[in-house]
Amino acid sequence: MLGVDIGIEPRRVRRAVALVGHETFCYDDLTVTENVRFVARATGNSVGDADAALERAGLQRVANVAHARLSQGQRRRLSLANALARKPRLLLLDEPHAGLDEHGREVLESIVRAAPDAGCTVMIASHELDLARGLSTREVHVVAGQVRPPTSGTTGAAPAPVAVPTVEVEAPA
Amino acid sequence: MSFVRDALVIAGKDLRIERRSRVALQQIIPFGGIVVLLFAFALDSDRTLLHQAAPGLFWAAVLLAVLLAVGRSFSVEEANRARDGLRLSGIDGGSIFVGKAAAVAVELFLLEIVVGAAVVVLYDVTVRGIVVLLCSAVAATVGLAAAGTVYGVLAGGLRARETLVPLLLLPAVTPVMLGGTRAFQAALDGSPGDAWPWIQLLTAFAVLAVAAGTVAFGPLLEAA
Amino acid sequence: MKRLFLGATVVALAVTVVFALWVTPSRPSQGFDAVRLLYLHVPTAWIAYLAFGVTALASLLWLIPRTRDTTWDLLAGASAEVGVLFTGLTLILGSLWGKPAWGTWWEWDARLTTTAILFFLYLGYLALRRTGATSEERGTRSAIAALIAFVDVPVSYLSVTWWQTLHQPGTVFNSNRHVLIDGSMAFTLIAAVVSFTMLYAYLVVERFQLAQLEEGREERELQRAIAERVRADQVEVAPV
Repeated sequence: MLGVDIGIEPRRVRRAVALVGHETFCYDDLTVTENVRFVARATGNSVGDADAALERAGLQRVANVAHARLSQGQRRRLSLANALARKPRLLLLDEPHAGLDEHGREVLESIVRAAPDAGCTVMIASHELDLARGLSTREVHVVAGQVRPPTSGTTGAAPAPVAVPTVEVEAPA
Repeated sequence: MSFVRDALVIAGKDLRIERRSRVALQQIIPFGGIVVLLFAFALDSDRTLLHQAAPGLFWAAVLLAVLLAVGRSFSVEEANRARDGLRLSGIDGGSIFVGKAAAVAVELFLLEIVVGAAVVVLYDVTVRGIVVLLCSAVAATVGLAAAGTVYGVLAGGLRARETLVPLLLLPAVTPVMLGGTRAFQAALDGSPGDAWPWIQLLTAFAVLAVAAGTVAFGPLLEAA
Repeated sequence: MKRLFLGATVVALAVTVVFALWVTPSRPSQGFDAVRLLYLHVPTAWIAYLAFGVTALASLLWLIPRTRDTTWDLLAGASAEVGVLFTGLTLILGSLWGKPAWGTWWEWDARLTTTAILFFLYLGYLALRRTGATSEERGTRSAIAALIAFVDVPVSYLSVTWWQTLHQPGTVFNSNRHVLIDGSMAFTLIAAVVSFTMLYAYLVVERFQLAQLEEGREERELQRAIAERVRADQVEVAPV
């Protein structure tokens, strides 16, 4: 995976992968800035990387707010900032549109579209098929653990110029 | 060296959490003081008895406080699946161990100063043999912090974590209790030379605990 | 097969008891022939060490990825349970012996203290094991806890030679590894060790098989839950 044998060097692989899921993996007592900077340092990046990621996620206004007091949407964007601060080569997004407001979705979109230029592949697992399709170039359906080819007529209509594959899970929640 | 740098990042994170939340300062250290008081009640405020038992009572109070310190060190990892975040960070388990244990050790040192002061004042103790006191305290504290961190991660993520860690940790750190008490006793009795075998015991324990933790922390963090 | 073994164990135990209580010479101490307890107390201690040794070995085998298997995890747990039982027995029998001999139920010497610590270390180990339903969940944690706890076994055994303590130094082997007792006493002791070892083996096998059944049931329930979920998915899926 990513050119490294995952069985022998799992840590190197983990550093190169970023996961944005339901939980933020953050510390309630620390501020947004402190959390993102910790993630950056922990993955061998700099404080500057952290601050830049924070800006791209649009969290400047809550930079000094403790994690415990963030709203759901802000936490989602914090997850994105953490992911960016790791400078990953593979970005895994699990239901990224959930909990994001309009502004948040713009942030998500800009991050996903800019990812390939930074040498990063993005994989999205989502129930929001229309929104996810808008961001992706390739689509995979997973139904009850089985991979199925996508139904025709969908990928052709997607106006997405970015070269990112999408994984869309259709198993009922 | 990346190992040391990563450990410092982890230790810094834990200490920053403490500075922000002040749990050790406002809860754990006062707990140590309360235990010192409790012992006085238990021994019926008998000054002679308290004076004689002071070394042991000091370490008993510290041991109980370690349970809280270790509990706190790992409870911050429970919320928001931060524990998984640590696993995904790609940092070597040994580094995380050293970092977390170091942070606990720092908190313990502060606690020992306060509890020590309380013991000196309340149990009417004359401080002698400072060098021995310091050496034995350093060795003991490192051992306690290391052993505590091992059991903290071992029980981490389990629902019964809060009651399991005390049950697992206390029998395992009896050498520290023994060594610390005897070393302090020798120092306060004015025969610091007698303390050196006990300081050796404390140091051996500390070395073993740190070695065990460096090796075992990674696999334990991965376990479920 | 197992029943045969159980029968043999009972016979061996019976022989031991007969010899311990009647055949061996008497050595009354304060009106109570306490020496007879030693034929039981010493073997229970050795079996406890054996049991924890088996637990440590099984734990090691679990931790090594190539040999990892549920069998080792279950064996470690079963042996530790019997070990805790025998440690408790050792403490109780020792206490019963100590009251007439030393005048007190307990003394704070090295051997007794380290044995009491041993008891608590493995009690904690057993509590830890209960927090996971399958080997996967509890295997690594309990294996490491078992290895740490095992450090106390040699410490406890050697404590009487390291420190001048109240508890007698080795009765059977002194520090030069020479056997110190003989005759009917030696025979009784050997009989006790053999019969207790057989009892240990029987108990561990029973406990192990019970644990295997429990583990199997957990696995089956898990598989059943997964199968039901898959079936439900297949029914509900509608083509897009």
